[in-house]
Amino acid sequence: MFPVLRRRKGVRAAAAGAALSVLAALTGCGADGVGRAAPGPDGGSFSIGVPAWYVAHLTPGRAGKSSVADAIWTPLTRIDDRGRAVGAVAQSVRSSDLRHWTIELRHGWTFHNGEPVTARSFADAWNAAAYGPNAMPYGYLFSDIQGYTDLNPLKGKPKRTTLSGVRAVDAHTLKVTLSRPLSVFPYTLTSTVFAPMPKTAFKDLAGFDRLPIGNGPYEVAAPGIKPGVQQLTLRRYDGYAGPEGSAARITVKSYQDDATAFTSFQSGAVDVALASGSRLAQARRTDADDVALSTAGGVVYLGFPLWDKRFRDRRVRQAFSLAINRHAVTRSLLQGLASPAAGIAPDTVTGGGQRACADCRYDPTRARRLLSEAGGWHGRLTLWTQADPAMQTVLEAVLNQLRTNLGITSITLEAQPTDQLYPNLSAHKADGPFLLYMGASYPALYAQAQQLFTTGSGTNTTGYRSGTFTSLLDRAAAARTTPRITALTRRAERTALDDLPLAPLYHPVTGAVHGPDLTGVHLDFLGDVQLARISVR
Amino acid sequence: MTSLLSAPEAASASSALEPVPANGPLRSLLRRPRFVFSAFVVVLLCAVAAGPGFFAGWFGHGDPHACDLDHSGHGPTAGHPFGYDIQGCDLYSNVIHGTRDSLGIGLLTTAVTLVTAVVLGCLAGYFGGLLDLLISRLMDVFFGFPVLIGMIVVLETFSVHSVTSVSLVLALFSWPVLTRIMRSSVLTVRDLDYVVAARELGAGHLRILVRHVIPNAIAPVAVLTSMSIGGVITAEASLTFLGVGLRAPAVSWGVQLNTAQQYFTDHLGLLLFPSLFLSLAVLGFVLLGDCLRDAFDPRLR
Amino acid sequence: MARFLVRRLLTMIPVVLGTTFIIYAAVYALPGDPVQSLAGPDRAVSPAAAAALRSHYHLDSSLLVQYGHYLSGLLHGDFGIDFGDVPVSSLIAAGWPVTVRLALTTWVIQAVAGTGLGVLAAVRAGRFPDLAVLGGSTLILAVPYFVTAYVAQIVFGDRLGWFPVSGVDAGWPRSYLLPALCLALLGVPEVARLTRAAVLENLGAEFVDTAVAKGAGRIRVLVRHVLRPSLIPIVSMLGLTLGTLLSGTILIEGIFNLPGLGYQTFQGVQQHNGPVVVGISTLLVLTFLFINLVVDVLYVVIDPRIRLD
Repeated sequence: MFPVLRRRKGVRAAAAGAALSVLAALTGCGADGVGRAAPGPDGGSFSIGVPAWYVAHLTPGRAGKSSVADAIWTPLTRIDDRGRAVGAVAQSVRSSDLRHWTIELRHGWTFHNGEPVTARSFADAWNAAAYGPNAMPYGYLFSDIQGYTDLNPLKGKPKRTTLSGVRAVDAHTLKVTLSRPLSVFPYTLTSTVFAPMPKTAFKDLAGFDRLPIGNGPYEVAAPGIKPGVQQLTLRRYDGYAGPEGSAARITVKSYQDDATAFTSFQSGAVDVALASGSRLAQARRTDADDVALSTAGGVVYLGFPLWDKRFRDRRVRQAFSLAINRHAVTRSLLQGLASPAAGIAPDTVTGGGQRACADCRYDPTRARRLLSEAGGWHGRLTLWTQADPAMQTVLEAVLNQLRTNLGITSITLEAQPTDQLYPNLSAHKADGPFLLYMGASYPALYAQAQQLFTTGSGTNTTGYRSGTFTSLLDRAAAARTTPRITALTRRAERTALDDLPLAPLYHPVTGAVHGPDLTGVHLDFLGDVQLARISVR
Repeated sequence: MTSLLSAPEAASASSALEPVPANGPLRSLLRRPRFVFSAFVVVLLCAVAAGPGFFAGWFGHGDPHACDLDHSGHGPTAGHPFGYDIQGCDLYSNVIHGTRDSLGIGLLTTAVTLVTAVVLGCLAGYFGGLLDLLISRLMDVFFGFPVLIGMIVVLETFSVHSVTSVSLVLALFSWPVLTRIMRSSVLTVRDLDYVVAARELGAGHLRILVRHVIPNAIAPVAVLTSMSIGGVITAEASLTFLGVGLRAPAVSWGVQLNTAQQYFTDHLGLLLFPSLFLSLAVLGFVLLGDCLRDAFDPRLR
Repeated sequence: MARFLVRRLLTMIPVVLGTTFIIYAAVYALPGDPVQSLAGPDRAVSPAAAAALRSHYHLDSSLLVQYGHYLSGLLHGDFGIDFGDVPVSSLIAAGWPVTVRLALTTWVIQAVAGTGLGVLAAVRAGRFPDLAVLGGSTLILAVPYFVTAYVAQIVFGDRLGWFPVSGVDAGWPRSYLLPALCLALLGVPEVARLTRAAVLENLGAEFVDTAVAKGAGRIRVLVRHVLRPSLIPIVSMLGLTLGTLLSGTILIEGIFNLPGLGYQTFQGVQQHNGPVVVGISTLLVLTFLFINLVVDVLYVVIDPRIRLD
């Protein structure tokens, strides 16, 4: 042993050293400015708070639809203010049989590095996104194009690397062959997943994902996405061939928690933020002028496990649907930020808004009668939803109503992260009704019907199969005029909701809050803002 | 140094250094208002936990599941002293019914933790050697493991959200702290004069541990334990917040506070009333622990 | 001392191995499919894409093989790549400074406020300061700290505007003070209670009476004869709260949007992102072991009655 005194000295010296390095760690951070909207002759700048997943990936096939992706990428078509698909990079999208499509590109479009946008840029980007081994999460959107299965075989490695159904005829003509007639093809092209990519992208897809070179109204300023940095700067692209963005610079700040994004907006750290639920209700009460609202093109529904024999009897499903007071949920619990649903899409979507579901009303007496006619309820009931506080609150209200109106006393609630819940549903492991949200991927009733009820669709959570529905939807896909498509899709929707594999509950309202110095904050059908249209006063 | 391998000898000789007399503390306790107050609170809460129905019915709306969405978030009215929660259920009756699960988790977790800590802490601190090494390394493994991550992983894997499973998981990740305190406190007691004397008089290890070491070393652990009951009850709320704890329709203060977190800017009562009960419970246990320590710790008498 | 250090360092090896393996196995055992979470919740993953993802991240091999892969990488200083193809080491490099600043700020607040209040409560035991400390800590304990954090954000960040609501834009200390205060609330009551108990105990000890009898000054007695022997459980406690504190960063970093290690770990668990969870956890374990080695050495410095070997 050392003498006590010597040891103590040694430790003190070490402690002093540690203290110094602590100090170094603590002071090693400079303050940079907090982003506030600043007007300027060039259009000025503003900042927006977005969920973290908006800036997790920036490649078209990986990013998915978001306001940030919309700013960086411009696909062939876009949705206009009346909800129709119109040309963006495309001059025209034509077909005589709805299977073979010819797309003419406009001239003068360039990527942010000056490279012209050609038919080749689209073909290359689509091939990369659809090629299975690239594992792009949105690659499945190309499944209607001929040759998709060659790139994604059920077993083994794909033999081809390109979609046989996509051919660049010349610099400005793209020919696409689908595996079946699809009248809504121009709508599906509005997704940024179908955006073009420049040649340089394919040299290093991973690097491109963090600092992409797009063709949209805004370019990503270096260094792009950096791990641990929650900020991305967008700069207006002056060579943009479409309608120019209004602000010169946009600072995108990502938030892991929606509540924090909202509080940050309130404290002035960002100029725009998305909001929902009680926070949106609060903002609407205090600052109605600076809140933009829109009914999202989707539906929150209670799906029934058709694989469970207790739910085989339609009367049981009817009883559940009739026992839920949709008005009380939207008015009291959701504070008016939702509208009761009697169909799978609201009227903000082409074809949506019809009363397709006869049992989507509140009639507890009839509900009780139907249930007892079907033999009553025996045993435990488990209700499922995703691990999301807002959804859980709604499901709790549903639970209370089922308990009160149907007399089912033993009810529990199960909430799982979506990556567990969806596999559990597709493996038919969930043993009770489930509360989920389904958003249209483009603003047409057809999209919702196809996603929710088509046999084999990844989002057909109830396992619904119906020959009548399938033939009606196929006829809609092969119809030539929009009114005809809508009429047939509506018939398909009524057919499905008559079988009631799921009970639509409500169409949620989403919103954005913004500072008084911003104008042009509007929400699209997915409830997201359009960055290029926001201007600084 | 005592080795792990030496077998405990049978002890019979009564030590002259016996620190704790048989009676006395209880009588002196009953004269202290602090003790009377805290014991009253704890007994009352236990009674509420045992029979919530009786207490919940005081204002005529005893069913925590009788809800009407039209009353969502409304303030106190006649018959509803705490107002309504966000689902339109009577908040008073919900808070009363929440006592059972919250207190249950607090007591069960603390009991399991305390027993583990005392046993392992004594083994490690008193015997030292290989046993100490093993226990200390095991503690290190658990310490290093980020506690919340550990709990999330375990609870997600087993996917059961009952009072027992939540308590056991909370205990699984809280024993190391108390064990380590117990160990260091045993270390300081181990070589004190009367322990050494008892050992030299031929007392067995078990007897020394139970009669001399534990009574003299347990004070810091006991204080922390009484404190931790409250911490455990709030930890339950954090687990609910992360989506792996109890969840509705289970009724607990943690579940209520978790819901309140979304709505407290508009409905402060949702946050206030469960917190009030939780505070009362925490206060009761802390004061009770304090008094017991004062009464039974030989060095403070 | 040297022997003690070498022995402790050697025993760290099985601890590190044990911890990383437990974490790795736990993440491996999590229900849910990592491929599904990579693709996004409601999307159909084509078999070819799934196979490509599995082989890219070694998800197609057994637990032991995966762990072996990971460990051999670790020995070469390679923390692996996460599911977004970002090297975990660069995630750590980005998150580390944030978490260290947050943890140290919290720790200092905890130590100063905890011992200060504890001594105050002990010296004035049974009187108003004691009761106030007790009442205050009870209230703090009774509100879950995520609730406290949200309330603090709205009151101090938004309404009063004293602190930034979120992010690290304002730098240290401004950006870190509010989250650190919220996080410190977790430990202050415990440290204060422990200090109070230890100080009370030593106030009644014979050597204090002796010192007083010998005519030593009040402050001197308090510091030399009461506080110093009381420090053992306190220092031990402070070392241990570091573990709780680091795991507390998971919630606090999420709520305050601090780009540190805690939230990365939480996201890693949610995405079954083994490399991230194991990488960061390993780092935290090492930090923790090191700090507690220091604590053990401090024991000897504080109380000469304890010997290390």
